[in-house]
Amino acid sequence: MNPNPSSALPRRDFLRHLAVGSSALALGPTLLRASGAPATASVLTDVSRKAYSGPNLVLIRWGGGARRRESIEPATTYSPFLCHELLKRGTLYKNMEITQLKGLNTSHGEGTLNIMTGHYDEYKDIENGFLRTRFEPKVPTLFEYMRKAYDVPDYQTLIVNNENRPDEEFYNFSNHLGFGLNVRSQTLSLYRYKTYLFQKQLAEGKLPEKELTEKRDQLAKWRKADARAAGKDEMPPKMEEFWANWRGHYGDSGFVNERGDRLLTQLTIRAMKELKPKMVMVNFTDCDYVHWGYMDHYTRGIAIMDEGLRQLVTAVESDEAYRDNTIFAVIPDCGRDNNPYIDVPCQHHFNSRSSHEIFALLFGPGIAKGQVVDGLCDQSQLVSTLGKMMKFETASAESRVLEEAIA
Amino acid sequence: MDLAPQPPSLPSEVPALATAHDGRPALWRRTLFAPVKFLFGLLMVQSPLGAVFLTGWTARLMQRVVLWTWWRNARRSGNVKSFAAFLAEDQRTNGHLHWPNWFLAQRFSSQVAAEPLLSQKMKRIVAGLFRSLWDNGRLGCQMFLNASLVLLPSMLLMWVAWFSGWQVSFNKQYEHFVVGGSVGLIGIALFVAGMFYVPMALARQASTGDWRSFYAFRLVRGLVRRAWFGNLLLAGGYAAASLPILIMMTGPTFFGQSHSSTTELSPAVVERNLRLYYLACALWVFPAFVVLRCAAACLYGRTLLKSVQTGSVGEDDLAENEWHTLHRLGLLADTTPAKRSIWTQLILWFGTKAGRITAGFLVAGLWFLVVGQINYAATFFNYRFAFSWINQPLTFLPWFMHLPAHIGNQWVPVSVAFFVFFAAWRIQRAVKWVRAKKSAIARLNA
Repeated sequence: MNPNPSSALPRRDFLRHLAVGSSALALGPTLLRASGAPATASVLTDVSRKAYSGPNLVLIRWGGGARRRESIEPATTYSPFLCHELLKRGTLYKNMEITQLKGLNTSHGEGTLNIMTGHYDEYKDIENGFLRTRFEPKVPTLFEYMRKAYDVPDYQTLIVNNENRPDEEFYNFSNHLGFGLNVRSQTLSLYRYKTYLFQKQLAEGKLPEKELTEKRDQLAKWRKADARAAGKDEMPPKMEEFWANWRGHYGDSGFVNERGDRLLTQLTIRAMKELKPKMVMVNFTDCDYVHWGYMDHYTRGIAIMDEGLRQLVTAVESDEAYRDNTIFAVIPDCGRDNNPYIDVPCQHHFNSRSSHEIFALLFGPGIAKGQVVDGLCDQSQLVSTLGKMMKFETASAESRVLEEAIA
Repeated sequence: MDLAPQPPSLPSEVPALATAHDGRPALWRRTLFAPVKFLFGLLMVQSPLGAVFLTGWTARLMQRVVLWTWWRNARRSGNVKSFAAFLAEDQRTNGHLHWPNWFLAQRFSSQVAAEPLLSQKMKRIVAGLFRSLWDNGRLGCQMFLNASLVLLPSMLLMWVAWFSGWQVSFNKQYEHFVVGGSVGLIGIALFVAGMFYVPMALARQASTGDWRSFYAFRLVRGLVRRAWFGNLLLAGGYAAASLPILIMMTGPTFFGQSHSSTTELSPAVVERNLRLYYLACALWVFPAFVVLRCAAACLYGRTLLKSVQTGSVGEDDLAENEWHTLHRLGLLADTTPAKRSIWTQLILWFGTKAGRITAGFLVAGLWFLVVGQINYAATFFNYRFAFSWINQPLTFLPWFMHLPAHIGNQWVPVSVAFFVFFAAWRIQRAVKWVRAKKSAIARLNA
């Protein structure tokens, strides 16, 4: 492992990647919009891919922005299952960092893309919206690498997203040449369910005209929000089936199913039963509510994530298809400030040193147990490590692998 | 409690010894004491108790500003001497020969020097040593309590709204989403409505020196309606002055950027650094608070004068000290020729119905901007529990020093004790007054 992560990504390389990525950024959406074809992602022209038989992956984004202190430090943790149970089962990188690079922001969208692409980059909203984070990955995501290498359908590579972060709904594919829409992942979220539901309700035409008009307008607004697919995204039949079952079970009101990060856990467990995903990324978010000033929202948010993690581990262990064949990776999108000058020391994550400090826990088959790695390592190293474990190339990602984890 | 209108707390004696030719203290003395007074002002901003004294001190200065406004108006007619000479010639105003003191009685040294006997000098020294401190505290409490009565409910509503709104959002209680937002809007609306009234009412209270005059609703409302343009400028001043306050409130959020997640800083170091920081912030907060309050006083003085001269406000509506001053200056009747400059025409347009409506919306918008900056934006950047909501340093109590809860601020309990003592004292006096009135009525009946 390189003790100095920044030296592994020289400034010149960083700028080169930035330039290539920017060009692709400019072309990608244009090509997509110009194609005029429905943006369904189920069809792949490449027929050389083989079936995937390696381990499944459950990737937990431990966010939005959770510190080591409240996660993996036994004396101050609010996530007892992670800290006291899971650390024994895997390899903990307790000094993982987000490298300090000019233009690199320690926020949720950026951190999520660091985790998904294994590559640090500077991002801007696709339409330069104020405080918007509709970013376009410039290099392939973990999901794209996998689907490019193996015959895995899109509905088996899932991002489970929180309703509070609609901008992160569309991180499913990059604008990198040779990857992109055809090897995209799918998203599970309340937003997606509502999109499905409103379309169905409009087709059924049973609601009063006023409500139908409202829903029509809302749908049009949501289509606009997905700037990259330009409203041409279509849900594959398997996903439609998933949402139909969800609707049958929880109804139309939205008041029956779980809410917030608990909903993410519920969606993931249901998806594991119905869609059998090979790779799923759960983007927990709720602890980020501390931005509004209430420390208990942060600590409660972490405790809710911890309970969600416990349920997911239990679900994996009780399912024949996943037991002993699933890797878990737990990694925050970013850290938070450690500021003793204010009442809520971790209210924000304004690129402070502390907000660069994260951790990663890997556990599952083929991963060393009960190991704690003290050395410095990088958030961007996760993708190549997972690629190595799951046996696919991650050419554009940070090449250094977290070797200690591989037993 | 005496219900008759009282002149402000000023020394009752006519000056016996003027230190300069026109009765003002000598220039060297003013030059020496001005920075000392300023330094005390900076220190007063550091605690809630000090902020009360600062409020009272400013109230006395506001009274001086009202006098100056009227004197300046009278000077145009050419029959008035210097401001100092005008102040010196009457015992109701001669305490304003210099700016208010923090501790000593006004014109302390000249009063002591005027006493012929040593024993009387000693008596005067003892009586005057903390006279201004007492006046500042008493007037400050009265100003604070009056402003609280109007503004505090709205601030509490905003606090509750923030809390309940984010609780509902965190727990995704969609069924109750309306609670936080609607309570917050009511709080903001009440605050904006209150701020149409409070600056002018506080100026009246300061001018008369009587806390009851704050509640002269009809008079104050009339003045506000006749001074839309001035109110617009005043609200604009508050909105502009709030921006540096927002930046200073946010400042500590960006401290400790180089701290790692394991850095532990001793509370003593944190407290020292924050105390220095807030002392530096007082360089803005103290002058901004005083200038804005004085601007309100100036607006009050001008508007009241015009209202009296046009007959909109009767002489009976004036406080005794106000009537006396205007009478001395010969301002009870309008003697100045009306000028019709573009500026005057603009001001007059704000008196029309369209002008009033336009100004009303603009003033409301500017007060909304103040709330948006000082309460909402500042809270997002640096949440300070209840202190984020129940105080605004420029419009309410000029207290601008916040230590995080894990360090604590010993001035908060001291200030609370002071308020309890003050309230108990006033209640006791009120009870005495009621009893005296009752027995007087009983005697009359007998």
